[in-house]
Amino acid sequence: MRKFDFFGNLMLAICGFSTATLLFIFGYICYLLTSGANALRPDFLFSSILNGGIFEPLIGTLYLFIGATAIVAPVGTLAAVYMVEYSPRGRLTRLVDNAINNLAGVPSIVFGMFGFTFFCKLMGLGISMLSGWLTMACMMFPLMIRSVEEALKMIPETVREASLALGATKWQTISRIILPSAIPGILTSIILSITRIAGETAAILLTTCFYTMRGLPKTPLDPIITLTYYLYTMILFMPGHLDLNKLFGLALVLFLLTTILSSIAFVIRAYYRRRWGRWM
Amino acid sequence: MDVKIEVIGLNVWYGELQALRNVNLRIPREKITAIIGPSGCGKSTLLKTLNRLVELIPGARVRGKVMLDGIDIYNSNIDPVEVRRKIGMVFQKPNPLPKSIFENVAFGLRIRGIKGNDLYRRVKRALEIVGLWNDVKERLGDSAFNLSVGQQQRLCIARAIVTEPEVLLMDEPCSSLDPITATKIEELITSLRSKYTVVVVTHNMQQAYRISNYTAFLYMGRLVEFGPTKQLFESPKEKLTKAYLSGIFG
Repeated sequence: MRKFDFFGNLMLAICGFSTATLLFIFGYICYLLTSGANALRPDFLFSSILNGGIFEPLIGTLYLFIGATAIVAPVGTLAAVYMVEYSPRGRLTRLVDNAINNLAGVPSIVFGMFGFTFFCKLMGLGISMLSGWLTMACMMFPLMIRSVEEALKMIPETVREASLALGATKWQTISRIILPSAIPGILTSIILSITRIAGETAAILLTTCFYTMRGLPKTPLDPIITLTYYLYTMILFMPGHLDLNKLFGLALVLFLLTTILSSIAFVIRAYYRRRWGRWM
Repeated sequence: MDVKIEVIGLNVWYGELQALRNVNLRIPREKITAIIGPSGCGKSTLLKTLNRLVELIPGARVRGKVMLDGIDIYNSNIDPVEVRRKIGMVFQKPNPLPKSIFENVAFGLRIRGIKGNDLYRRVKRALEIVGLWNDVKERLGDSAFNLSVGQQQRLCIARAIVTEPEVLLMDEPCSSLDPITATKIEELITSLRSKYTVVVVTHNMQQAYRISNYTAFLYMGRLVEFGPTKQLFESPKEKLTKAYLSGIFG
């Protein structure tokens, strides 16, 4: 007779239970989100907060990630190019590398505090969209640099050799061969940064948003309101008359926004991989 | 002998490891010179010192002189980019750039500021020389990675000769190819002799015998023997050369 394998069955039960728990949670989130589906109407998306819509937060979120990305994408890419192509492999480079890694793990509320004291107060930008852009850019730098670095390191050394052997200068090699090859990687990092920015709350809370509604920003020095912040204030300040449909509608919009962006990143990568193959 | 490249007292180190030891060599103009020797004897290193590509390897140090038409390319006021523009190189494994077939060949011309009709004409001519034009003329915009390995290597040769360099360096250009394609490439190399100074590193002694005018035998980082190919293969002066050629080691 086969011996009863107690340990094996125990592990099976534990693993099975963990998976079931995850499935349950995921299913429940989907259920909650579908309950917001009836909020996905144009008059909800495109009417002002004052009329029960989410137009200002939606536009605020777009403004926020467009501005922050415009700062973080070029600077992060250039920094990554320096780190991979130029910086000598030494103790200082390793130190910077480690600093970048650690920075990526700092809680966003800490970045919020930094943004508030440095950009809002010290530089006198106040609670404004610009402060938000700069704070979010600081927060996204480590991630951006790291992922562009990965994209650059994927390009084999033989490609650099081929270009230099043809008499290209270092910069010609980087600008005409290396960067174009890394474009899918760079685009993916940009979109993933946008996803993170769109979902960010804590850092926005301290640097960019006012509870009182002031309409759409006219200059970068005006505050904005974002989807995450609006969700937060609705839960926090209107507990008496919570409109669950509206709440979950808002959550669904946020969820779709980030999912769509991630999907775009995936499609771009798949397209380039099919076209150029190999290391992309 | 009309000398194109003269290597004088060349030593190369990778960190602590010495890859080349006091190599002296005179490479004749518009002839094919083969460099043979067992794996790890410094063949590829010697080739890469001729266009200063060796400097890209971390920890590499070079002492000695490499005179190209009487000018030391390691002189401190010589720009390695200028050196590499005069010297084309074909690598062991085909390494097309992540660009289209056309742009792979055009790249070397573009960075020299050549545009328009002239660019197209020269790319076409180079692809014709390597016998690739008829295969690819309908799909010049396709990724170079879609070509077969043999076609990729021919593309790399086209890319190297399109700028009409004075010297062509080839690092085991046939080693990753099937025998039929390898034969075609060998014929191609032989046909380039009249116009270019070719230096070809090879593992394959028969190949060196077939295609080269001169042969250098390298062993453990030292140049053991150099001479006309026929003479070196049929009546080698050094015992070591004789032993290597008869297959005692290698």
